[in-house]
Amino acid sequence: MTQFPKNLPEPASVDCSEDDAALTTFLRQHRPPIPAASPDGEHRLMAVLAELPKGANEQVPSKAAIAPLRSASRFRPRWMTSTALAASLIAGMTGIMLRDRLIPAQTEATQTNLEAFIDSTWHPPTQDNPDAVALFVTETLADPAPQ
Amino acid sequence: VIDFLPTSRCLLEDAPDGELVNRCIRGDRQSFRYLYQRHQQRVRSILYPLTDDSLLDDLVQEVFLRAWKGLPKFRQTAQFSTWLYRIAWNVASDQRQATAKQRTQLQAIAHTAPTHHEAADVLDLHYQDLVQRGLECLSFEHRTIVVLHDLEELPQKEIAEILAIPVGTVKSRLFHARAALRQFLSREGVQP
Repeated sequence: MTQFPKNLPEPASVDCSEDDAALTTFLRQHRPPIPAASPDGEHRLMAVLAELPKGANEQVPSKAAIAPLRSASRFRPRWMTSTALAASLIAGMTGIMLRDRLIPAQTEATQTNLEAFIDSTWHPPTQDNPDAVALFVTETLADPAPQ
Repeated sequence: VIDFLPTSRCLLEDAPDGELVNRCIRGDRQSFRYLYQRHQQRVRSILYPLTDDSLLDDLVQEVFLRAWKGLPKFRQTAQFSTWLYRIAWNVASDQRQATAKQRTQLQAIAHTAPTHHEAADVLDLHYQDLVQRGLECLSFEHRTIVVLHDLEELPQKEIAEILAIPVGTVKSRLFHARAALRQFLSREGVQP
């Protein structure tokens, strides 16, 4: 039976036994030769790359690269928001002042009529049911429950 | 409009991967050409034992095409080569799944015949055939580990990154893959 040659140089791996080293050396020495590359392989590859749409492999700009654009776009809404708030405040104040001018103040006669109407229509809840008042007083003044 | 810094060709050819990658991300195809020239042979070496050799050129191109498209997503905390080898492994896996149902036993036998007879020695040819058939008798996962570790001499930590598995799993798979290879070679009359 053929023996692996023992006098060959050690393989690069250091963590293998003597048997592993002999096997590895045998494999390296007798590995099938790699076929030569096609002479136009490089040219074909570059032609394929040239046909790809431009930017097919270009990197999306990093966050750092687009940060100034983002900060500019953030600044604009912040400025607009504060302006809009101030404008709406002024508009609200103006509206209230205009309303006060447009709506006439209540006259004393109107106020007297309104009070008279309330007096005549408002009845306290106990007025129609005196028994309910008596019951409430009885329960409230009764002795507290034994502890 | 992207304004590239005026860098001479010599400087670019010697530039580290990271710099070339940055230029590629900005759309510089010439930098990608240098990355291709730098890494294509290693990608071929990884793909060849894992795939059908008749598709090797197309698969290498597929690897670099995916790399070009995926460069913006590439996290430069990892090495470009590690990331590229992972793409190569993905391409090999995809190709394997696509052809698994189509491959007949006859094609498999025909595939085992060596197609490149550059070695002068008949014994060398015999051993090459054994290695090729030995690799093919392994599962795809075990073959991948042997190719990356024993043939391409990548460190176990990098292999773990490429395959997105723990280093312990790499060690375990390597152990079992080597055992299976030894068993195969033993059956073929080659005893370690």
